[in-house]
Formats: sequence, structure tokens, C-alpha cells
Amino acid sequence: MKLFRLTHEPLELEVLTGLVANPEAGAIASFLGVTRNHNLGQGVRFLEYEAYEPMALKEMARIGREAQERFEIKNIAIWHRLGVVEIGQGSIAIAVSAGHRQAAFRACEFAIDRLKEQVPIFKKEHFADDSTRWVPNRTNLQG
Amino acid sequence: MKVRLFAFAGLRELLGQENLVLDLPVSAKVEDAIEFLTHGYEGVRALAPSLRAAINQEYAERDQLLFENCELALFPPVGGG
Repeated sequence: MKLFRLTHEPLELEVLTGLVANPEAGAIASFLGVTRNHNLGQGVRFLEYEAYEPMALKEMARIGREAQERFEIKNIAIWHRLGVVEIGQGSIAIAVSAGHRQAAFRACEFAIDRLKEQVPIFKKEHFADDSTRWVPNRTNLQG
Repeated sequence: MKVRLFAFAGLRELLGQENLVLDLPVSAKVEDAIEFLTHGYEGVRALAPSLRAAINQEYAERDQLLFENCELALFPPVGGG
């Protein structure tokens, strides 16, 4: 199984924690980003993700390498879901194994923050009235 | 020279397709490709200031040179996570 992956299938954290398991690890931290039913006061029916897939995978692997350089971790896995994602389902899953929990927590947060800034994945909100909107992450808005 | 354009999200929808081959003068830059699209496709001008670019899957600045048969990707600010 791949540590960095884009998939149209539902995400399961157990799969990722299994991927990063390491006998020298004392901790595995994981993060699951789930889709919310509202944004800026509007009701969201479901979300849809698309990616510039080859570049997104390269950037995800780059984040993995940067996390390895910055934190004392054993392994990291990052999977992102594509296509339609219903409300309450996981859109991004990250798992990090480390000797100690602090490094695992920090690397996990680092990875999601960087992903939201630099990985070419795009989110479209579908609203109750059938209108749609592409939504950039707040950190990437100008001004 | 030929440049292979890949467009995503709102830009893909404005162009009506994900892939296009642009015929640009030698020594054209990223900004020239964007300018070219603003003339041919309605709505691109409004999106243009926010677009990010990548050449052969690496982020590129507006003044970076394109080259024959390169893969130019243009997309709005990312929204993954």
C-alpha cells in the first residue's frame, strides 16, 4: 500500500495507522478531516474534490520528506479523497508514527497545514439550491 | 512553440476542457499564456490575478519562461484538506 495516495474510496484511518506502524514507535497520531454541512452561513449538500493528480502526489510526498526532516518521526502516510464526498465523511487522512507522541502530533499538524497551502487539490461545494462554488482554503486567499 | 495546458477547478470550467495545446511565441512566459487565455475565454480575466502556475509539475512564477512541449498547469488557490 502506498503512503501517499489519492482515492475515490472512503478513507479509513485504520488503514493508514497500519501503514505507518513501526516496532520502534511509541505513538501513532492521526488526523481525519471531515466535510462540514455549512460554510459561511450556507447549507452544503455535499462536496466534490478534484486534483492535478501527478503534481498533488509529488507535493504530498514532499510534505512527507519535510516532516521527516523536521520531526523525529518514523513514518507518515497522507491520503486524500477525490470525487463526491458526502457530509460527515473523511476527505483527508494523515497518520504519523514516532518514538514519542510530541513529534507525532506536531508532524501531523504540520502535514495538514502544508497540504492546505500547497497541494493542488480543489474543492467544490454543492449547495441545497443546486448552486455550486469552488472554495479555496482560507490561508490561500489574497488580501 | 507548443505548450500543453492543464486547467483545474474554476478555470477548467471556464475553458470547457481540462487539456489544451497553446501555440505561443518562443520565449513566452507564464504570464503570456494567462494573457492569451483572457482574450479567448470569457471570465478568465476575473480569475487571472488569483491563478497559480506550475511547469512540469513544479510551482512556477509569472515571469518564468515556458519551453517547447512543456506541461503548464494553471489553477485557482488550492482547497484540499
